[in-house]
Amino acid sequence: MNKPALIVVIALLLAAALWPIAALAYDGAEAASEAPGRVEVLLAYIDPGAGGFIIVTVLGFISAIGYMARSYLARVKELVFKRGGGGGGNARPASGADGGEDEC
Amino acid sequence: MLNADGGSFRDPSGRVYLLRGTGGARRVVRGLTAGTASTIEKLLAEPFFGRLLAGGHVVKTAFLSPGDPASVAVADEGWASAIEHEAVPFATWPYEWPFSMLKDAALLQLDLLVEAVGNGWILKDATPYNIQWAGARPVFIDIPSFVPRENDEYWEGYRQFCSMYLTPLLLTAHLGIPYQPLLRSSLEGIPPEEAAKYFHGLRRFKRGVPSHVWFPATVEKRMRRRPGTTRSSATRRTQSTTSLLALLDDLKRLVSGLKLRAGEPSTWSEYSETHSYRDDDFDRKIAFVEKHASARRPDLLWDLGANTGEFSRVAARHSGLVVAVDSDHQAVDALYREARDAGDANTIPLVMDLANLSPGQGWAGRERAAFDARRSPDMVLCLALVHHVRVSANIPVALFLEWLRGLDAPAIVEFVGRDDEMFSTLIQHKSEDYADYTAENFRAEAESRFTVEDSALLKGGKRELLLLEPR
Repeated sequence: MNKPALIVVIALLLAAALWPIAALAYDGAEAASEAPGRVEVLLAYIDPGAGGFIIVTVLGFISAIGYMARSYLARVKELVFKRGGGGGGNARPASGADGGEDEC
Repeated sequence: MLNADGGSFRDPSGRVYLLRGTGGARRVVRGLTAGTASTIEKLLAEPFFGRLLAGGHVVKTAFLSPGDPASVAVADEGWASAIEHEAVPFATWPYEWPFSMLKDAALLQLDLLVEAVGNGWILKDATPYNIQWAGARPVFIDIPSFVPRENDEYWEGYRQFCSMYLTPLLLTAHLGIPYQPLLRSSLEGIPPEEAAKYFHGLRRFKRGVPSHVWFPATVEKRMRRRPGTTRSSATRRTQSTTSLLALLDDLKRLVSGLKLRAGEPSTWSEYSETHSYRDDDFDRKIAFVEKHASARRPDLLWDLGANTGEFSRVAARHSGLVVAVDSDHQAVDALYREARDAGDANTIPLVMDLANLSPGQGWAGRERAAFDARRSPDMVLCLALVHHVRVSANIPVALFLEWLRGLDAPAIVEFVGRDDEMFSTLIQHKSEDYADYTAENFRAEAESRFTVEDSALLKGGKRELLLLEPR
């Protein structure tokens, strides 16, 4: 694995490990910030979707990383199966992403 | 004569009108501005949209010929052009849908968006009010929502998708909180900051919550607290197609994996195994419903208190459409899944408290019509329902029959007598006597409003089936 990829992997692992602590600390900070006397912009004048662009951009970026990782993984699996001589006889249909709903 | 639809006025690009065609057939036409008409013309020519139409995923739509009287009437209203949509047999709202219906509607919304984005289009909003049901199949009805995606614009409908589809589903799947009352009281759905309050502490780590509830809530809160962060109209807000498709793929995987929390079996979800009839009584009841439904062949039949739909299925064999209503979420969800898996085109299951039917909602109470103001049924089933209405909801027998008479349709009513063990179970912890709930009084009240055209005794006379025809 090259150096930048290794840094990204370590950063992601660290983020995953620290996430619960950060989130619980956030609860405390939230409670403090709700203290009376804090000046806020009048809600009626704020677009409820303010920040929508930031949210979609960040989530889209994160999803794209996962999306690409999954497609690479799928390619690797395909290679392994081909090498294993499976010959695709047991392959799932390509369009099955949303089929076979796992209903309760 | 054109009637403007009470829920179609927010989008300035067009308006929906309802009218009666030849032979009284219901017609739905939409007046369009010149710009929107041109966009829809292009959309109808797109191969991907042709596939969606052919698959029944979007409502059948065509431009009206200029000579059509409806076209002339729409032009008189000031619209440049008009299209006609296939009429939806019975409108329903998301706060009446069981979990699996909202989930399937969400998946349709995402599938349409993936198709649109892959072909240079986008859906400008993401509200479940744009989806209706052809039996147990969701159909997208708001064609002007499709607009060309210019300059890689980002998906503005994301917030609406989360507020109106994803968050309600997450609340029910992860916490077991029914979303119907929340969606009914807030037609714009559950905003991120409000949703985040349900997922506090470690609950925020449940699948989909950190990214689609907690993160948006945090960003919105931060934006709100920073005066001056207003949006400049000159700023281009773009998102690559790859990033948008990846986000949609993520959402599809998340929604597909959500399941209605099973928990304990609900009161009615195992009705077919737990009902109190002997086989011959049950068969007699089926035969009674079958006989009168097949004789009348109603275009629209309501099965009130349908539970898992044993008798809805019988009635559906002889009806244009059966709307099966029950307050038991699990039972209705099971009915929907069964109808969907069977490809049932004429049963719509809804979750609703019959003592508190969906009221008229939205602007002037007319945007989302009340359940009993949408379309009159041609026949009604109230099987083993009246004792629940009387005892559990405390509605006097006369009031219930008055409401039933107001529907002006024949009704099959099953009266459960006071000596029936199910009635005894129902009142065992009640101190009230429910003195008006007797077979004699029920008959007298019914006969003052209806003619009893047929009747049959069940369970050795403890129950009676009555066919009531309005006087």
